[in-house]
Amino acid sequence: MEERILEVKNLCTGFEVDGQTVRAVDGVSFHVDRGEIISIVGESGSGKSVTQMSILQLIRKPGRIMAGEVLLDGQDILKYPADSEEMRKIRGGRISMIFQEPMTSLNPVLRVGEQIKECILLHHKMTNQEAEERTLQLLRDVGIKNEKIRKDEYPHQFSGGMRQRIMIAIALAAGADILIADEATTALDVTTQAQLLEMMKELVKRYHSSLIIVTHNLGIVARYAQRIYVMYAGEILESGDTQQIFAHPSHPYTRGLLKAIPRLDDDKERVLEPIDGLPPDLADKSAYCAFEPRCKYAGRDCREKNKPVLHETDKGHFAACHLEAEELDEAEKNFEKRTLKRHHHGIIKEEKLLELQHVTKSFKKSGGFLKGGGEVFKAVDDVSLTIKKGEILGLVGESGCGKSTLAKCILKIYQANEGKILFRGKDIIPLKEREMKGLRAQISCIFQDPFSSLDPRQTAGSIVGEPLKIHKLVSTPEAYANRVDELFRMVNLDPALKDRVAHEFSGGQRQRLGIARALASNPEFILCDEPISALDVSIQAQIINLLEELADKLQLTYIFIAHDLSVVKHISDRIAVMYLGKIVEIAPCEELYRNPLHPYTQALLSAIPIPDPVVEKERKTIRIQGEVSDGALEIRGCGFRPRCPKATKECEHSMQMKEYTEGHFVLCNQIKKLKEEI
Amino acid sequence: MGKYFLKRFGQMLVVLFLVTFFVYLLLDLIPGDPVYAILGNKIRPEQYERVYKELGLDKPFLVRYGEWLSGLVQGDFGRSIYYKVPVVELLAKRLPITFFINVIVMTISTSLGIWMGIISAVRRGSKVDNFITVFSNIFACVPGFWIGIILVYFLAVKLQILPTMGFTWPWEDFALSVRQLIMPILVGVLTSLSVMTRQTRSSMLEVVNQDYIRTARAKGMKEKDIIRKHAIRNALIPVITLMGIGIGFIFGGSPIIETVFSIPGMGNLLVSAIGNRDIPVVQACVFIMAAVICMANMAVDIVYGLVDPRIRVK
Amino acid sequence: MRKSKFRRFMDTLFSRKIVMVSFVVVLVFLVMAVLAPLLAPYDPYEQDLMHTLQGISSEHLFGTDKYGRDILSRIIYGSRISLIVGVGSVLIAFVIGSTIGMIIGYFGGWLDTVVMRITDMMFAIPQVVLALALAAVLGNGLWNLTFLMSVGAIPGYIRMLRGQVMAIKEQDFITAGRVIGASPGRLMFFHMLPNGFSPILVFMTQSVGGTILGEAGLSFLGLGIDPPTATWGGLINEGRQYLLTNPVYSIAPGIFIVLLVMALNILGDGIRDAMDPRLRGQH
Repeated sequence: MEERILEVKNLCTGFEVDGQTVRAVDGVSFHVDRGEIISIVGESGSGKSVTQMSILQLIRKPGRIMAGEVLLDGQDILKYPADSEEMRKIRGGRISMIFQEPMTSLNPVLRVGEQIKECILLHHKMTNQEAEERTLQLLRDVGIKNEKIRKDEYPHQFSGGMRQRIMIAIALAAGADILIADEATTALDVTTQAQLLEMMKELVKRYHSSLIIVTHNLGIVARYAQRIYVMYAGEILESGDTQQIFAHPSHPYTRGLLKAIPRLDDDKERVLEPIDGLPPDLADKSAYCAFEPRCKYAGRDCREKNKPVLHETDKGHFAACHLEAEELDEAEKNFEKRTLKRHHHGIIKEEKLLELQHVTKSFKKSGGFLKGGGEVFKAVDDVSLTIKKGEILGLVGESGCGKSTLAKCILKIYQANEGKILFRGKDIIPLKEREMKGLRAQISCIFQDPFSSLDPRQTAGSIVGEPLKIHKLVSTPEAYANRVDELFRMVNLDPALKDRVAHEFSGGQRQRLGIARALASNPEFILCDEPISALDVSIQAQIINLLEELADKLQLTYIFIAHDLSVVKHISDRIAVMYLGKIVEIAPCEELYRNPLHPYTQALLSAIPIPDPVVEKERKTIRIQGEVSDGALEIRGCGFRPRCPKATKECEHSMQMKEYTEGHFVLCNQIKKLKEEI
Repeated sequence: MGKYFLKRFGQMLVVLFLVTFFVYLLLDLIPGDPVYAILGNKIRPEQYERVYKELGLDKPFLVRYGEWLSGLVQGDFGRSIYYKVPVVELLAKRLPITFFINVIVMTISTSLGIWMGIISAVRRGSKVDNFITVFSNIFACVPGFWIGIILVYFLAVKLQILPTMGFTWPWEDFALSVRQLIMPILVGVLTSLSVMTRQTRSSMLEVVNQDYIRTARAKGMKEKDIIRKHAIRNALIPVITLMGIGIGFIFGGSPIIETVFSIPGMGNLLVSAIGNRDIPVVQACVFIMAAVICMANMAVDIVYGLVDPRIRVK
Repeated sequence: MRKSKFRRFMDTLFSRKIVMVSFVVVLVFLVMAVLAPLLAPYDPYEQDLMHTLQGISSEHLFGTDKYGRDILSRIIYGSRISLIVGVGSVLIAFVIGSTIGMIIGYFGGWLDTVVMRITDMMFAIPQVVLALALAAVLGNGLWNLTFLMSVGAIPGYIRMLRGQVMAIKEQDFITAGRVIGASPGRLMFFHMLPNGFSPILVFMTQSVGGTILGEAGLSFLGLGIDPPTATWGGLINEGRQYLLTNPVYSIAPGIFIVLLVMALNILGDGIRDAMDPRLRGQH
């Protein structure tokens, strides 16, 4: 048996809120062996981060560790006071942590080298010279080039991905045995995320230390973790070997999650099955199973018996559920099969609803004194697209690719500099706001952030009803009230909630309000700007299904923007991939996944982990180096050139969109060679 | 950094130019005829005519402004109507006194305020914090002139350990100078201290909740070192900006403090000039105060740029 | 819904005793100002040259001034000036400053640049000095005093509302408003103002105290309201010459200033905490 390096037993951490103790972590136990990579999976509020912070005693007031043991090499470290010498030696020295927010986790006024060196010197007796050398070594280890120059730079001179590399260097600085990556790659682009995780995996292997990946992303888990702990409402509901859990999930929550999340390798016809309801309020948790209110499998037992405890269902596989696997399987047979799936081909009309011709939007980078010599930066660069009535177009790209700028040009929030945006054949770019008003009823938008997109001072009803007033779509107060109620019901919200203000709703409910507002003026076209990326995984499927259902029922046309290729696959008829302001590839949905042509599309697809360890093992991966910003100043030829594994001299020439097979366009000068390869 | 400095300098010149225009325009609107203010009411018409022309009052506003501005650039602020000497001569005597006192006040209240703010934030909720908070809350509500009068009553009138008023340079009579300075400086410090303390405290409290402080804790640093090495420097960045406002606040207090303690400084000069309708003096005083504050603000911004690498290194 | 929200606000506001006490103090001062003729034991303008500069006595709680007028009565009447100037000038500054700030924040462009340079200029002149200079132009009088105290505060409101509007403008719900076709007026008054109002209200309540201090300073320098009108600052100034005979002459009005200003400041902080719990504990 491997050396058991860390063992957490029955950990409880609470927060004092309004004189009441809210148990964010409620009796959590888990362990890590040396050299092992484990994962703690959970949605926001599940207590997964608080658990890790408790291990290092980084919990601040009003939080408090209430019970439990944390055994490091068999020694309980919770018995040391939080600011004791012993505890400080463990932090950074034995166990180190990488946090989620790369932009704010480094001290802005200290040089990065200094921040790494500081951690080395805290834990090792070394001369300054030795520590300096080790700092350089660490920077090389985490893949930062020109380390001798870059160590003297400040955090703001690095991109998010680079800053997270520096955080990893700090975590490794003192040679810790256990690395905790707390949603460390969540805020980063998919390709960067893949690079960092791969790197962490290698470094952990090299130093024979252990890695705890804390994440909500089941794909990452499937790709990297050996064992998994699934957390929900401060408790561990299921744990076991990764293969086992994905093959035979024993807890209804785990089963639900796997059914709810979209997968890159999905059949296009697969229906996502969301988990209904909302996570429980930790302030008043019931005495029985925490998942019971949302559980489709739950029987009478679940409400009568006490809280189920973790028990072994298979060798090394534990679940906290009263029902046995067979009972769960049995229950599943009786589930109503959702047949909802739109019949794409019948709906899409030949009529062109929206047509973009050579749309370009550039911004001046702020110039210096007297505003001279500002560089021009093309956020959207010569984009042409056609969307037919009834079609759903997925628009995918990483941050900085220009997808949101393009969206704002279509909505006429930004004024495009060049090109034409034809809506029903009429160019909207030269229109004045007054002339645009009629069209505003036809073109709607659903926003990414369900919190900032609803006016916090207005009631839900007046938010949803505002377009009716602006466009004078109803004549009487009764008609107004009826229409608002109808809109609430369309998005599955209770009209009785319409007097509440936005912050009294959960994220998913708020997004429903945003959808209801978008529908109010009976639009033909809705721009969905990353409508689900701010939501928890169990909620995402609810919104995807709702959008799909509405598109079907109301014959809507969407542009569906996302950074995640697995999400758009479910809903889109066609998919366009953007990189540095240009559309690099556009193809019918299945075609794009089956036969990606552009090297960037290939890399992007490869970077997305599939929540299935068996599939992950078989996958061949294409890694690309660098980050999006690396190509930003490249003017000649292909913007992807600096990162492209296939780039040649030819790529410096200008490019033309080429049609590879019918409806499959690609922007790459290497396309002929690619054809031969296949 | 050079560019930043130039930009800031250009901005300052624009602001100063606006100040001159505003000040001149404002004081041109003062009711009452300056000729009568100079010569009294019982004058012959030809005498009136002569002085009226001498003062240039027959010329249009913009011409007079232009002349005044060109004089200003050459260091000529015109002649005092009341004292009948060049304004520059008055300023030469008075400005150094105001400057001397305010620099001392500024130094003490800034260093003391920052120190108290840090202590109070680090020991949040403790007795020390409560004491400092209550102390600065109280002094934010007390009129400076009133504290001055109370000090005068107890220390000068009742106990007779300090002189009630006046100003002497330290090199003229050191002991007397110190004794005369104690009360004005005390009033200046007490009234301006709370601003510094409160700002430092809230800035510190904000910084200790930042993610990079958590990073430092996760490294295993001592709490004391975290404050010293990571928190204070970040917390002082916004406090530096506030020093510009602090300088304005302290100079704004000069007219009152100098009146209470009969200190022959610029603030005192301004108050009496307003009473005497001595417009050139008022213009000069307001302009100089604004210039001092603008320059202080520029200096503060430059220091800010030096301290904050996000501005220094682009 | 609205009511319960207001209730919650009031509950939080008065959950701290000191805020409650401050509220009562402010109320007492308001009553004092309104009912001055009923509350003052003597006519504040009636001279009694036989009994000048008397100390504390049962007839004259704070003694009499150099003309034999009752100091307590003069203090009670003085509260009117302080409160009118304090509240009035804050309101004037708010109306002028926030209108300008909202417009330049929303539209930006050259107008914004010009106005911002002008506010820079006004910030360069200390408020007291600006008020002194204005006092010379406008002359003495209650309304002039109220107006000139407000001038120095206007740039603060301009910057604050401009900042608010610029921050709110970037939020998605304003973009959403534009997408559904809302006009700039609707966006400004229906969406931006309600959302940006609470910090401004807090700023307003917090600045009344400071304005009263400023007014007292001006009156002290003799540039406020002409005698014989009683002002607190003026009383302190008059009393200076008689510190030996009747120290209460100067000290008593000062205590009233401190009490009122402190109560207003604590109440202002309390309102801020109750409105935005995130700001609690900061200053």
